[in-house]
Formats: sequence, C-alpha cells, structure tokens
Amino acid sequence: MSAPEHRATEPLLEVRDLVKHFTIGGKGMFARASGRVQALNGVSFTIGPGETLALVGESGCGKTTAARVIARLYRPDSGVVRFKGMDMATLKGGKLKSARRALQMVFQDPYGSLNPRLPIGAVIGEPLKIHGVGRAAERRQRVADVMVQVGLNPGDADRYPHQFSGGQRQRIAIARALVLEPELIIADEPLSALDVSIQSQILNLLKDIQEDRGLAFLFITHDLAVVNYFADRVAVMYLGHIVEIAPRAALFAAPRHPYSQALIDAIPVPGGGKRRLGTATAGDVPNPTSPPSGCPFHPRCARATGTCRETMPALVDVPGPGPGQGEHKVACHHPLEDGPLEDGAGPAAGAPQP
Amino acid sequence: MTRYVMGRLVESVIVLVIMSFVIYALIGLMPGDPIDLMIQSDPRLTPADAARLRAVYGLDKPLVERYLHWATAALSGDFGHSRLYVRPVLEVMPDFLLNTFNLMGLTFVISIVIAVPVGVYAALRQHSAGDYAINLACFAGISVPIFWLALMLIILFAVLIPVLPASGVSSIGGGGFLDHARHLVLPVVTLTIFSVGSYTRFMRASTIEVMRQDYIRTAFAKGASRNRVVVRHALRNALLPVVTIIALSFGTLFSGALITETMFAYPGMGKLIYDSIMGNDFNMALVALLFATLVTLLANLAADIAYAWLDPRISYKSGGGSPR
Amino acid sequence: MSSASAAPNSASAPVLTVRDLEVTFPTPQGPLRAVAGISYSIDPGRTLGVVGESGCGKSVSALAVLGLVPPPGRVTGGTIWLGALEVTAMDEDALPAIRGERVSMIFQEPMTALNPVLSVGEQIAEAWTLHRAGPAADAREAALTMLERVRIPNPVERYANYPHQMSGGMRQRAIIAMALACGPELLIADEPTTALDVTIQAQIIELMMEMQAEFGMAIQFISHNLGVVSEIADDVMVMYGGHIVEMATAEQIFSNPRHPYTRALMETVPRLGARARRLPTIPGTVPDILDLPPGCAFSDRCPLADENCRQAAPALEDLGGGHLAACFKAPKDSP
Repeated sequence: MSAPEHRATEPLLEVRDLVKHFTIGGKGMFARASGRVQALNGVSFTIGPGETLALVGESGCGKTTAARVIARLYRPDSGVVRFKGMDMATLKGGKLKSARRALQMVFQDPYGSLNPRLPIGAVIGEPLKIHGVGRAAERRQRVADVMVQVGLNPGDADRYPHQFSGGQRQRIAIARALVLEPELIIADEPLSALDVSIQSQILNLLKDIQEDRGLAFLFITHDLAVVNYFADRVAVMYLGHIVEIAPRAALFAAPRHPYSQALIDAIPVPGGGKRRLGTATAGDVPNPTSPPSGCPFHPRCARATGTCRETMPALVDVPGPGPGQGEHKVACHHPLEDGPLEDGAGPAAGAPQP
Repeated sequence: MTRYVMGRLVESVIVLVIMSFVIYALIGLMPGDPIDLMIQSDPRLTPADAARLRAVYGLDKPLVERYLHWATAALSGDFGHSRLYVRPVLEVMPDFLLNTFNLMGLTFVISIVIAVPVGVYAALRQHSAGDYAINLACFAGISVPIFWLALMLIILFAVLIPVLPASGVSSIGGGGFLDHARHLVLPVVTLTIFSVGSYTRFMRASTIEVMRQDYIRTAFAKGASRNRVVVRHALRNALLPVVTIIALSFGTLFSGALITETMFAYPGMGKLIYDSIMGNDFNMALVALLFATLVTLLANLAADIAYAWLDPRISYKSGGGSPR
Repeated sequence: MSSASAAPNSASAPVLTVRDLEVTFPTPQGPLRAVAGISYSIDPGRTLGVVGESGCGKSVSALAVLGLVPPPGRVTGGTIWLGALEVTAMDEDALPAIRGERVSMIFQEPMTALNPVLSVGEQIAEAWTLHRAGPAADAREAALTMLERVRIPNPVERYANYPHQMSGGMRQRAIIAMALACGPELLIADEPTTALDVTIQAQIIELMMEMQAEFGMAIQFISHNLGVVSEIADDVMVMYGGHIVEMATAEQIFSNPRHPYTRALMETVPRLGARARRLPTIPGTVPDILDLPPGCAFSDRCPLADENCRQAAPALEDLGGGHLAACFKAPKDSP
C-alpha cells in the first residue's frame, strides 16, 4: 500500500460532482425523447500518483461512463475532471496532447480494440507515431522493450492480432497503453473476457507494472475478489452514485453500506460449500431510466426505513475508530455496525418480497 | 403510433416540397425549352416571336420566380397543362398510374411469394447443390440488363413462338380481362426476374443469420421440430430486415419499371415520365416525378410501420421501448 | 458399471449415463476431437458441476446429450443413455420428443436465448404444447403456473411481456420456467449465471436449488467459475482439452484436489480472504485442441510433468473413495 505517502501531495486525478445523463429514444425531428438514463449523479473521487482506485458495481451503475468521461470520450453534463491540476474540459492543443499521453485506457474486449489489419508491432507503436516520439528505429526499440515487459516475444511484432490468444491480445493492448509511459491507466474490466487461468496471469502483469513503474490505476470491475488483490482504495457504485469509498482493507473488513456487504456476500467461494438458501439479496438492479426515490438501494435493502425512501443520503465520513478521517465514507442513513436502527420504523413498506 | 405516423407524414410533405424545387430546377436546367421545339418544327418563327412566346409562358423569368409561380398555382390544385397530351396534367395521369400499379403491384407480390420460400430453402440447405443453383439463378437475374432481357423475351414469346403480345396494354378493339392479362405477362415477368434475385438473396442471408441465433437453439432444445423452428421462430425474425430492404429498393423497382415500360411500350408512369422528358413536357414530367417521390416516401413509411408490427421491440410511442 | 455396451440397470439407475463419448469437428487442419472419449453418469436428483476453460469440451458434450451438436460436428463414438433410453441410437426425427420432455437445456445469455418477437408467456406455453396434448387455455394455465413457481411477480402481466421488457435476471427465471414446464428428469445448464450481475447470480443459483427441491430433477451445471460450481454442485467433474481430468464429490474435490490442473485452477482464483502479493498462475495458454501435446494434454503446462507424462496419456482411475483423477502423479489414498 502506497497511499499514505502521497496523501500530502496533490492528487493526480480529481473528479468532482460528475453528472452525466443520456437521452434515449427520440429519433427523427418530431419524436420526443423517451427517457433519460441517469448514468452519473454527482460522482467525486481522487486518485493520487501511483495509487490504484477500483470502481466497483453491477451493470448500469455508471462505472464505465465515469471512465469514459474521464478519458474525454464523453462530455459530462456538469462537474470537473482535473488531471495533474488541469481542467480536462478546457485543455487544448499541446497541453491536451500531453494529458492524453499521460492517461491511457485498456478495454474489456482486447480483440475489438485492436486494428485487425495492422501487425501488432505497428499497433503497439502507433501511439508513439501519433505523438511524434523519436525516430523509426528508436520507436522500434521502444516497442520491443515494452513487448518484453508485458511478456510478449518481440520477434512476434510482425504478426497480426488474430494470430494471438485472448490473453496475449490483452497483453498487446496493455503494451500499447504503456508505450507512452503514462501516469494513469484506466482499465475497464480488463479481465472479464479472459479464461480463469489467463486472468491471474494478466492480473499479475498489471500488478508488476503498477509496482515497477509507480503507475496510478483506475480499475473498473464488477469482481470484488479481483479488487482485493489489486486496489489501494475501493469505490462502490450503485445507480450513478458512489455509495461507499474506503481503503481496501477497511472495506473488506467492515463494509458500512448494505450494498457493499451484499456484493461481498454474493461472491461464490470455491470450497465454501453449498449456498444457503434465502441469503441472496432480493430484487432486480433498478432501471437507470427510472431510479427509485431517495436512496437508490432502498427497494432491495433490509435496513431501509421511511427516510431512505425519501432522501438520498450524503456521502459522509464514517464515524468512530479505524482509518484516518476522510478515508472511509459511506452514503447510508443506517450504515452497518452503527448500532440498532434509531427511529425503529422497521423495514419500509416497499421492501422486496422474497 | 398515430403521433409518429403524423410526424412522419409532415416530414414527407417537407421532403416533397424540397424535392419539387429540386426537380423543377433540374428540369429548368435541361437544355432546350418548349419554344426551342416550336422553332424546330416551324422554321418561320422569328427570334422576336420566340422572345414574345417565352414572355407569354413566363420562361424569361428567373428560375426561383418561375418556381414560386408554379408552386402557388399547384397549391390551388392547378398543376398546369400537358404539352404532349393537351389536357390538364392531373387528368392524364390516372390511366398511366393504374397501369403502373398493375405492373409493379403484381411484380411485387409475385417476387415476394417466390423470394421468401426460395430464400429460406436456400438458407436451410446452405452449400448444397440446390443452394448453389438458386444463388446462380439470383445472380443471373440481378446481372442481366433489363432491356436485353425484355428484348429476348419479346423475340422468344412474341416473335419465334408468338403466344404473347409484345407491347401495349390491350389489343386494338379488344380489352377484355384476359386480353389485359396477356399484355401484362411479359412486362411482369421481365420486372420480376429483375427484382426477385435480390429479394431472394436478402431472404437467404437474413435466414442464415437468424438460424444462428441463441433463441433458435433454445427452440430446438425445448423440443420443437425443424419445421416448427423455421416457421414459428425463424421466419418472422428473418423477415424484419428484409421488409426494410424491400421498401428501400422501391426506387430501384420503379426505375426498372421505367425501362420495362419503355421496352414494351407499356403506357405506365415510367413511360409517361420518359416521354414527357424527351418531349420537353415540363409540367407533366414534374408532376409525374413528384408523384414517384411521394410513393417512394410512403413506401418507406409503410416499411417502418410494418417493422413495428413485426417487431415488438420497436415502439413509436413516446416513453416506450425501455427495458423492464 | 460392468460393460460398456449393456444398458444401465433400470432400478435406481442414473438419469444420464455417458460412455466413451467422442465428438469430432472436421476442420481444414484435420479432425478436431472436441470431446475425446468421456464417461460419467448423474443419479436422480443430484447436481453435477462441470468445470473447465474455453474449448475444454464442456458445452459440446452437453449439447451431445440433446443431439444438438452444431454441424459439421457430430458424435463419432460412445453412447449416451437417458435412463434406459439410448439417445445415441435414436433417429434424428425422434429426438425432439425427448428434448424439453426428459432433458432440458438452458444457456448462458438470457438476453438472446428468448425469441424477441414472441411474448415470454407464449414461449413457455409452447414448451408445454410441444409435449402435452390439450387446448390452448391449458397451455396458458401451465405457463402461468410455471411463471409463479419461478417466483416471477404478477405472472398474468408478465405472461404478455416480450423479452426486451424484462431484466436479465427475470429472463433467466422465465427460461428456467420454460425448461421445467414438462418436468424433465435432467436439466442441463450451460453457464446460466455468467452473464448476470453477482447479486442476481446468487438469486438464480438459489432458484435452481429450490426448483431441484420441488421438481426433483438432476442438474448438469456447466461453469468456468469454481465458486459458482461449489455453491450448487454435489459432484464435480473437471475437464481439460476434451478429457475429464478429475471427478469426485464436491466435498472431496474442493478439500483435496488431486489433479495438478484442478489444484492450479483453485489457486489462481482471486479470493476475498487470503491476499498474497502475487497470484499463483498456470503458465501457457488455454490449449488448442488441434495442437495438444502427446501424452497428457496438460503436460506442457504442468509443474509436475516428466518424460512419462509427455508420452503416455493417463487414464481416469479411482484414487480411493470414488475420487477419480487422470494423472500419473496424483497421490493415491493409502490402502
């Protein structure tokens, strides 16, 4: 864990109050927009130099949208993304180019993100070319170096993406992201499309890179077990909100938000024996076009009360002992290990039926 | 749905207005005008006469002014006189329209009745001898120039084996139903050969794609027989893209009809447009082309409505179509 | 299990018996043996978990049970019995009668496994109609009952829903309803929770366990996820390169894995409890069936492999207590 020493320094990436809604339906000049997907509803977090933040959540929670807004693939409706102190929205020209260089992405589907008509040496070297780094011979050398680093044979530079296995393709994508020596890598579900035995190889590779180069990562995933191996801090998202953010150890040891707990409980453990019936969190992940009132998790939450149905709880510091102030925040009216329910109202009427 | 259709109709009207200007301008830009034709046929006409006549018909005014004049009259229902037929344009059109409707409608129905089962058959027996034969026939139909095909059919069935009439809609003095039908045979066959190949190819490709889908495997897994899977689960899904493509190919069918009608001297819209353009009959050509545009727009609208009817995922209601 | 050709004994016989099953796909590089002679059986009411990575043959062998191996692949050897019925000897035209009636199968993608242009209710009703004679009203009634039994709220309303109007979890419930409509003896589930969110995955696993308690069918549960298999399976079979490499009760296999591949698989999975700096890994790539090493298929990735492993293929043998493994190096129980 490298978090404490850069606590004093300026964050590498600062995201504040990001809001992004998508309009769906409504094509043609007389059609009306048929709905809004509230992908991000005021998301804030920071990542320090060399730090790894995992953004965790289920489908539709907004984690991928957050990544894309940060990488400037989408424009946010409101909110600020500061990278190395610069406002990403207003960057132009050379500064934008250097920011782009320092921030790279790795995607879930390694095949879809590689140009099938280019040999992989050219794929990996392309960012160098775009940014006008070095001469051709120098670039070749750098491509070879980075290929070695991700565990590819530099002699394979002339082969094409389809000649590689899924795991090797993900190595190619990682090499391409690394070749410009970025400071932050946004990795969007980089393991999901890979076989089990290959996932651990790639996870170890990312970890080596993280440690050797002091790279910061924004690691987006649905898999909390992976997070446990890779992240310094974890932000749990639900329906466009961060519901809990904490250092990794604190989150796994004592999750405060019932949803974080539900996610942890849902992870099947090999050799953990048969599933006990009645322990699954009920209800469906809500539709982001029509989120529930108040706390978005209340229809699935056993601790929900009337308050939860009416007002969205703010993301505030977890009181009491534990890690330093400001490190562990939760957005819940009735966080776990917070003593018995105060207003004694019992579960809300809208609580799910099993 | 109604709201959607109304919206689309308004859009169509706007497109139609824009197209009317474009067509007007294109015809206006064509070399020669009616007065030039008069000069050719009457050498005694002096340049002064020509200028006076142009002023009378308003042909000396700028294009936009002429267009606005025409449009104002058109809005009050006056689309002008046809020079060739010496009658109001709107009186000339219906006969031609009916003939084209017979030709294209019949072609359309026959093409689909052939293309759907044949396309499905070829898809289910991909890479079989039957599939190859069907593909070959389709490509032949698509590749053969339509005028050549028309000539061959005329030579074969009207000259060498004179069983069918080669031109017109009815025999002189005749005009019974059977006589009309006999005149339709060769044009309809020509146009069908021209269109059925591409429809069959679309249907084949679409069926192959659908048969690979997960829900087809689900249908097999629950015990549906092959025939049932094809008819109940594959057909409707396979038709979805075909409906759109066929509607969008309406314009192609129309241009095919134009050549076919010319070859068979068949008095339909195609021949009307051809003759009126060749004869500098501006008013006639303009209205006929506009009408063709309108029909194409309506065909596209019909395709969208048919699509919504076939596919429950498409909803033109506002607020619809969201998951859950 | 005495001889390979005799039909299984009918009394308390397994629901499914597979012997020396071989499935081959012709390819330009030669025949691809996706399933290379596997034998297993499932007893009534039990759940067999099948674990393996992509290309190990776990899905293809399941499709073979229903006679649904996608062409040009086909069963090139071995026998499959459903009870005393020899499926591999049946006429192609007779197979639809057993699919959905005696054995059902559900698939990974609930988003695409339902026909988008038919209502969910109609599709469940169809599963009933295909095997039961009766008026349409009875089929509808059966479908409504099934919707209710898989805990879908407002069945009457949901009956008329199209698949796109349901969430992924709801759709998987509807698919399970469809698969169980005729009360099959065996349900084959191919990665049924892989495409779902983790909290929904837990719900579907619970539902399948509840359905098994209610309907009493046996389940063959295919997954790449050892954790999921561990939550539902009574017995586990691990596949690699078209072979079964280990087969035992869940208890035996998770507490004491014997095959190096099984052991490696369990160690490479990130877990919540333990946290090492690095995960153990299996070197190399998921095997290419056309390019398997001679001898043991795992020998080129196995830390224990020696010359013998690279030359001779180990057979599946009982290491004691019914714990089977195909490995020369697997420790046997001391007698």
